[in-house]
Amino acid sequence: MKPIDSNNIDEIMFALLEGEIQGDERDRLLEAIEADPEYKKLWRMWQNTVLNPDESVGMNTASLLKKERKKGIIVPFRIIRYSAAAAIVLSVGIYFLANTGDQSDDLVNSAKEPVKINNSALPVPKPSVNLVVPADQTSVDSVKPLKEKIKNMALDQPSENPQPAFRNQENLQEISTPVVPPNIPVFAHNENETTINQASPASPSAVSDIQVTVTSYENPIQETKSKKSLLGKVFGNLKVKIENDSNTITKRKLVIDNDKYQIIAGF
Amino acid sequence: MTEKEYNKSVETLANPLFRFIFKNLGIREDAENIVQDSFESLWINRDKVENEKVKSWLFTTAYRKMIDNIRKSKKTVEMPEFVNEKGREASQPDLRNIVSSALDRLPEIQKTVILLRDYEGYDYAEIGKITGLNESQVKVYIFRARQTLKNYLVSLENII
Repeated sequence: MKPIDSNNIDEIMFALLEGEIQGDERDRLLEAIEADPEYKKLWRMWQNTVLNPDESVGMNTASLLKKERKKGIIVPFRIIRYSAAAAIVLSVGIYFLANTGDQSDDLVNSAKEPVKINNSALPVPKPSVNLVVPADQTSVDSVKPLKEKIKNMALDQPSENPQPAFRNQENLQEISTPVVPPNIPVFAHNENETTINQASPASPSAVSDIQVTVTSYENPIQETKSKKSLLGKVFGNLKVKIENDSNTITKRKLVIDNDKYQIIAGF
Repeated sequence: MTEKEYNKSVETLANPLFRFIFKNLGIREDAENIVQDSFESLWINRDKVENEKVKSWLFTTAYRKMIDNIRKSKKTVEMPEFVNEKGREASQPDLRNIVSSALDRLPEIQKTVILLRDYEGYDYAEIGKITGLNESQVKVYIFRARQTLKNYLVSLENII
């Protein structure tokens, strides 16, 4: 080992500082440095070149660097779209059912005898009297004598402008009468069934393609008009279902049933 | 690297990284920006960085960003804020302040390597990976840095 002198003192002290010299050699060099006042002072200066971090210096916003993911349920956008569309359809359906309920309550309570009307060009499975309400028989007041009028109409002679006869079931009297406009509702009395057929507005002789049957139950829940709520009107015991029906074009019919009425729509 | 490991690295390395960059640049805002950018890069590349190599990855990234910052700004280095152990600003020049002022006189590369050596305890090989130098170069730069600091202290002592 070479002795310490002014030419190599810096290199030796640097090596000691960096830990490159260990063991007995390190002890010996340190003893030699301590023995010389100048080397001792110089060694202290070398030791002061080792930097110590100031722990008080820090980054104030370090905690903001963390990542925190919010847990949640990701709903695909297509589900949101379908849900929105379903909500719109349901709202329209509820509005429609609620409004039709108001009208049917008044007319049902005022009618006494059953009125059966079949204006459909489609074959009807059961024999029934096919009656057509003339276009002028639209007011509520005309419902009471309507039965008599209809009976009379069935026995009347054909009008001056005969309309094509409807294809009806057997044992039925054909009637040449004007086609019922599509917006004339005829509502049944209790225990009766009314079939409303909406003809196509294109022409009087057009074949109707929708057949609607409204049936009221024997003892409907009597509620005053003012106390009824939208939800009560619609969601009493509302049931909606699609059944098979070979007599319709699509072989299907829609059945809507609540506490008061059963609406059957063939399409 | 998981999210939990990332957050753990923030807790353990954010302040040391900041001190390293702040000591080099001397500007707090720039140092914070570099630290934020470095951790953001770590988050983006968390799938590629192993948890054991996070520290060296962060220091390497921060060092490169620091060099870019120095080249762009070429600003005068401000005196860093130093507080003595009792939390009060030093009214008389103490050894830490003297060494810090001497540190600011060093070239950038010498300051960087000596800070990595003394602040973080990296060996020559690790410092070489961070700074892009080989071990011999790192050793030479550290020697020159310490020698400069030593000569500054000796000159002050001779004056005093």
